[in-house]
Amino acid sequence: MHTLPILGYSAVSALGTTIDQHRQALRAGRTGLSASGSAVLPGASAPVGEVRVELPPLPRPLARYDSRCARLLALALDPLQPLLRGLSATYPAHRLGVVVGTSASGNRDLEDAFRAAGAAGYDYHHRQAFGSVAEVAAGLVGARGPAYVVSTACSSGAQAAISAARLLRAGVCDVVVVASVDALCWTTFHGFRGLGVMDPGPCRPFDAERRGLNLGEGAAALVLACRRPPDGNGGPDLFLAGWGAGSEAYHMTAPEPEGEGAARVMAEAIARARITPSDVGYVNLHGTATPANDTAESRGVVKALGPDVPCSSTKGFTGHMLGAAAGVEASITLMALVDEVLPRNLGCEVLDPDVRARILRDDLAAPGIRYAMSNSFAFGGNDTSLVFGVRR
Amino acid sequence: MKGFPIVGAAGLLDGTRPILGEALPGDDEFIPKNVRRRISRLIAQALRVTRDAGGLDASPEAPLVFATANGEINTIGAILPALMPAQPQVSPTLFHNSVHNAAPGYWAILSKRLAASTTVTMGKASFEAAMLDAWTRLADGDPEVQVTAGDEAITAAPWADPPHCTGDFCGSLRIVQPGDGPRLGRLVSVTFLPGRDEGFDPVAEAGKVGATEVADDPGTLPGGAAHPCAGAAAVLAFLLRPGAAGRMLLARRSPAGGRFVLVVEREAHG
Repeated sequence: MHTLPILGYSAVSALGTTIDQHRQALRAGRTGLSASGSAVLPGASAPVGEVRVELPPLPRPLARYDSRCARLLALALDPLQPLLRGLSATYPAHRLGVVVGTSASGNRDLEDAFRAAGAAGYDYHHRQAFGSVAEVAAGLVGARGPAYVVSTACSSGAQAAISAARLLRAGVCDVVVVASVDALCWTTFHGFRGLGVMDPGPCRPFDAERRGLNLGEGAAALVLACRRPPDGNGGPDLFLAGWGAGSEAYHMTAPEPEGEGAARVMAEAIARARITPSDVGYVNLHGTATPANDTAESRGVVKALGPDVPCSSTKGFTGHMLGAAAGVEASITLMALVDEVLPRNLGCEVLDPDVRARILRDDLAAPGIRYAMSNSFAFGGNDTSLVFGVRR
Repeated sequence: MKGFPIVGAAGLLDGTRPILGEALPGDDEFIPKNVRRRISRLIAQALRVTRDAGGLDASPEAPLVFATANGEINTIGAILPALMPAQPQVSPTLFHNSVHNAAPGYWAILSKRLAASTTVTMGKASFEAAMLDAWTRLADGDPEVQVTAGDEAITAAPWADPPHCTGDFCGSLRIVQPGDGPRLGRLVSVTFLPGRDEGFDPVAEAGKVGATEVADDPGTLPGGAAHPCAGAAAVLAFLLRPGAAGRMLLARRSPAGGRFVLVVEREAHG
């Protein structure tokens, strides 16, 4: 397909609020998971990946949208504002669109309001209704083109990128800000605990003794464009090369064990990018650390790409950020392409013998890497795979 | 000819009444009892209209775009009290039903379809935003797209005030690439007009595209219930109503500013 330039990207997670902070934590092998105590989920019985900075309030015109989710989103959009202001001369605001992925929106604030007073007086429409996060994003970046939210649970951020790519390819927009966000909340914490897929200790993706996931929170944004403006930033040219999306048609929460659905979307993404499996130099795996996901995903990778492509899950660093996971992991994948260094799979000490994919236990130098993939899978068997590329 | 043929349409009010015409056959075979016990009214109705619009006959590559303003808001309303005790217990079924893409997930499982699905939400413009999303997929070459839109009356979330959804409604449209097959009508265009209210005249806009019917920010269903997907109900009623060929324009203010504008054409049918 015609590739779509990525003009900027950001990430907010337990690792930090800037790309550099993410880079430093990944290189140091330093997890963002907090084993003891959480300010957002006090008394949580498992580690969580919490954003531990004070979140600035929204600008006054958007104050009624206030929630932890909206503040995380604002934090992810903030570093891209200079870029977007610079683009406004080339691309008018009515050609700037916004697509945001989220799986829980302002649920954490709703929970507090419900505990306090049965949520009496809670402004649902601005603080919780899922579309509200696109209103916040559009307001923050000054977009006057179409804005909407995509919500497909843990693949929301990737589905948002796919919708944004379609808006560009159909000529509806010239630039689309793709964002994704989720805040920690009790609903998801106790929901996953109830499913029996939460590790009470730090999660261990692809480890033989893994017990489940840890939750995280975060936000991320990509600036996708129909073409690269003439005055580039001088850095390597990043682009969205392709995507795959499909349904497993198997189970609402369990993955299809042979990884057929995962393999299909990876193969589709490669075909759409018009590359071959051997062109893919890295896969950022969904890698939740649940026994079922990791085995199925490994099988899918081997089917679609073979056993040799370097892979890692970065959820041992960030926890599973649900609707924000695909976005933050896309930014980590782009960072790997720029740095030519592939991040390690933190938490895997003894590789599961059923895992045949090549899981990186240490960072790996990847000079000349051109393409990398990021997988995200979700409830309902909603599978996605994005392929990113770089030209130096 | 510009636009994309609409080859299937179905709408359901209050979970039982077709938006027009006679009641359709029951759905006992399609939704097994053990599934029916577990799912919300919204999911059940979304499954039914997706099937009734011809979803089982769709191309294997046809994505499903689900539109909903509030999603599983009543399920969230049921979960919140379960978070209050000292030892909170959230039912796994309620939890996985609480996501906005629960209905497309069940659809894939029950119909055994492997095609992509997504869920679009944007308040009262959820249906219209989903139609834009579908339009871009068709423009990009997808063989067909099914759009299913719906919300259920808010009954278990008193905090969702004001109650802008007081009835159940789900509707579905199958839209395909141009061809020679039978059709109900045509999706002529989906556009987005930036800006606020100044200068927008829906009747004048309709005149420009030859539309004889206009729905400008509809907020109620046939029968009067407030509903965020009232635009979908208006389109379905227009398409399915017997009569001469015609065009309608649906304009919808986006909560983020600007308007989605849909133009739909109906074939004459008796």
